[in-house]
Parts: sequence; structure tokens; C-alpha cells
Amino acid sequence: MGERLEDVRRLFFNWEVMTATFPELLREGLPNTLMVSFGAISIGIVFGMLVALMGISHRWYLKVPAKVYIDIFRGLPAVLTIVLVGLGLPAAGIRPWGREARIAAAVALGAIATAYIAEIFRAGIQSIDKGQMEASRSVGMTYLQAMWLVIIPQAVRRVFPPLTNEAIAIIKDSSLIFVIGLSIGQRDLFRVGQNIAQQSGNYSAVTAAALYYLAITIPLTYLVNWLDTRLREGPKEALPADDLPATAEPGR
Amino acid sequence: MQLRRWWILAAVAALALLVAACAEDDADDVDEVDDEVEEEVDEDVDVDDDEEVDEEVDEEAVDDLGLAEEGVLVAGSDLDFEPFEFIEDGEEKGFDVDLMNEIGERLGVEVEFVNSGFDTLLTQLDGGEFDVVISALTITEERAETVDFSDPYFAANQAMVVQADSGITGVEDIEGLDIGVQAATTGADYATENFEPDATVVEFPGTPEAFTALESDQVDAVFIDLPVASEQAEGSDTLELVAEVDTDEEYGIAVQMGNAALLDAINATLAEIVEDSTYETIYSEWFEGDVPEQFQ
Repeated sequence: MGERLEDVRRLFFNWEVMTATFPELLREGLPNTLMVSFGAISIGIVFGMLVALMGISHRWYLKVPAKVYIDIFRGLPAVLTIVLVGLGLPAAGIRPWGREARIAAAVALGAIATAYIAEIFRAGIQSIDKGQMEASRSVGMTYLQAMWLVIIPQAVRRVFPPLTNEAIAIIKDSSLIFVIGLSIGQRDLFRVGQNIAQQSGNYSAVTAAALYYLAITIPLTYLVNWLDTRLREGPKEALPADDLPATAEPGR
Repeated sequence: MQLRRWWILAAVAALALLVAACAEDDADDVDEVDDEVEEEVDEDVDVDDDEEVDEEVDEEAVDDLGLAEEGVLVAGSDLDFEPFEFIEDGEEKGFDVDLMNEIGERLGVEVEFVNSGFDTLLTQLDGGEFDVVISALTITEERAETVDFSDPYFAANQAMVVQADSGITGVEDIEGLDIGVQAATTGADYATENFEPDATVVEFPGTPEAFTALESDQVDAVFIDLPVASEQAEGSDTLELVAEVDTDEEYGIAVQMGNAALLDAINATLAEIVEDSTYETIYSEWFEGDVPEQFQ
């Protein structure tokens, strides 16, 4: 058993290999991973909101395309979506971003994020009491005004935790973009680590990359949690007394 | 509440049944394989009295091969590299596959292929997941630092494939081109060393992605092992092989560092296979042209 553990340490947690890998990961991998991920998340938030609004519409020509879109892009393996966007679109003569694999990757991951985030926003919007829409309409707001000014701000606040989940999923999925081909300078964290692992024959370089992923995702989680609390409760001094009865039922 | 508990109980019971069923299946499979192997050995001994001595030697060798599981030689390979190793109709096929099966047969062990990514093969071998790696793997000093290589079993050079209408005629035209390669291959190393910075080397995880990118115009050329390049060029109307580059490449079978018993057994068997012209038979099944001199 001890020997096996030693094997694991030697193959995956070789500190020498890891420290030798950190600078290149920081220089090339990290900026590319961040660019692709946050590009994708931005696309996902903008189009996710649009698709969510289409999805809750009562007009079939808005609702049906939204549902179909969500079904397809939520169901496809991420790798396939990346290949279809990165290699399939150019094959069809559609090449708005030339040969820049990172933009293709951001668009592909953004298309996936759109589907998931649309569902998150839909859940958020539908969780807001119907009475709020009725009240807003009764004071003379149009449907879109009521949505934009009353419902959506509350809905977005409510779905912060699942949105963070999705952002983390996208950051991790960005490790798949190698499938459409990366040249030196375009490589993401995973690919840089993998490259060094191939040269050294030791997988610790990829473990080193994994630490960078944690260094992005863990602070992101706590930042969003802090923001979430702050948006719900306001600044600390304005905290109301905790008047919620402790009724958590065991076993539920 | 009662109802819900029943549901959970039922679900757990169903799951347990499923797991049990699967486990049983596996156990059966293993038994069957064992039986088969035993039967084969028995038959051989009964029928070929003359060869009984040979048989005994072989069996002894089997015990000493240092395999993770007795009688089964687990071979790691990236089964996406036609014509060396690929999957067709759910079966492993190719030159490497035939050669490895021949070696296994002569050593009296069952060869079991495990499909994995090319770039993790050696790490997995090192970690004990395979007994050997046979995957059109070029013998390099760098790789020899983590694994032991058999004697060379194939001589392969690199080649460049382009779109037939591209006007690119050879490696002298590469200035400013994007050249696709398969990551972690000798072709990738060669291209990076010799074509950068005149050209940009774009790495792909596998050959399907690299050639798809070539056909969809995301790269201008693919630089890869000659047999793979000619296979792809022949199978396509739009692709053309325009250059062969002699890199003195030789493929070897990799075993875990220090597994001398297995390495010696493989080397001896390889020599046998070359000597009795079985090599030639396998070679001509997958490649055109003459067998290179060293393997005649």
C-alpha cells in the first residue's frame, strides 16, 4: 500500500515538476483559460437571458425555438459542440473569426452556457410571485417594463448560486478546447500542463494546472457568496435580528 | 413520509440487484476466459506430443513475464491511428494489433487491448495500468528515460498532406502556413524544431481532428507519420501527399522500466517473427511496397 501511494505521489504530485511548470502556466495558460471562459460566460449571460425570456413567452414562435435550442445544446457533449463550432462552421464557409481557435472555443462554450443559463434564469423568473407582475401591470407598466424593472432584478439575485455553478463548469470545460487545435501562445492551462507532462513523462504538470483551476474557481465561489449575502441583506450594520425560527426538520 | 421511505427502499433494492447482476456477469466472463485458456493449453499438450517440451518452456515463461494478471497481456494503445491501430466493426485492427497478437500467441498469453489517449499512454504504463504500450510509438531518448523500449519493429518517416488544390508542393513552401500535427508525436517535435518560426505548428489531440481541420481549411497542411499520411491521402479526393521527410524514425514496444523478463521475451519473439517471415506477411497486409531491409 505504501509503495502504491508512493507511485501516486511520484506520478501526479512530483513537486519538482510542478514548480517547474508554474511559470509557463501563469504566462500562457492562465490568460488563455480566463479569456475563453469569461468570454463564454458573458455570451451565456446575455443570450441566456434572451432565451429564458423567449422560453417563458406564450407566443409559440418565441417559445419553441428557445426550447429546441436548450434541448440541443444542453444535451450535446461539450467536445462535439466545440468541434462543430471550431471545425464544422469553417467547413461550411462560415469563418467570422478566421483561424483564431480561442474565439471559436469561447463561442462554442458560450453556446452551451446559454442553454444552461437560460434554464437558470427561467427558474429564477418563475420563482418570483405572480402577484408582482400583476401589481406592476396594474400600476401601468408594460409587460417588458415590469419584467426588466421588477421581476428580473429579483430573479437574478435569487439565482446567483446556480449561476456560479455554471461559471465554474465553463471554466473547467475550457480544458476541452484543445480538440480544435492550438498553436503555441493559444494554449490553455490544461494543454500547457499536458504538453509539459508529455515532455517529462510525468503527469504532475497537469496536477500543477489543476491547482490554477482551483485558484480561479474557489475565490470565485466565495466572491459570489459574499456578493450574494450582501445583495440579500445589505451592509452588515443594517442586519435585522435573526427572527427565523429554527425549524429545520431532520431527515428532510 | 412513510410512502417516501418505501420508495427509497425500493430504489436501493433495485440498485443493489442491478449491481449484483453486473458483478455476476463480470465473474462469469472471467471464468469463461480462464476456461478457454485452459482448454487451449490442454489441447495443445494432448495433440502435439512432440512439442510438449516447447509448451513447458512457454508456460514457464508465462509465469515469469511479470504481467499484472497472469496469462493476460494488457496492451495500451491509441486506437485511432490507421493503419497501425484502429477500431473497425468493434474490433481492434491494424499492423501493431496483428503484430502484438502474434507476439502474445507465441508467448502463450491473451493480448487485451485498452484504448487510451496517445499522450497519457506512457504515464498509464508507468502507473501499472498496462503491461506494454504498442501505439506507433517512436523510440526516443526522452521517452526511454521513463520506459524501456523493445528492439525497433517498424521504420517510419514523416510526410506532409495538403489540400490538392492548395498549390503547396513540398516542405519548401511552408513559409507562413499553419501546419497541423498530432500532439506528443515525433512529427510534432520535428515540425516544431524545423518549421517554426517560418510556419505555425498547430497541435491536435488526434488524427481525425487534424485532418478534419485540414479539410475545413483551418490549417494548410498536416505533418504526420508516413503510413498514416498516405492512408488519409489515398482515402480522400481532396487531399494530397506532397512530401516525405526522412527522420530515421523507428517504432518500439514500451514496457515498464526494469521489466527485463517481459522485454527479453518480446525481443526474442520479435526476432523470431522477423526470421520466419511472419513479419513480412503482416507487413504486406497493411502496407504496400517492400519490407525494409532490417526486417527481412
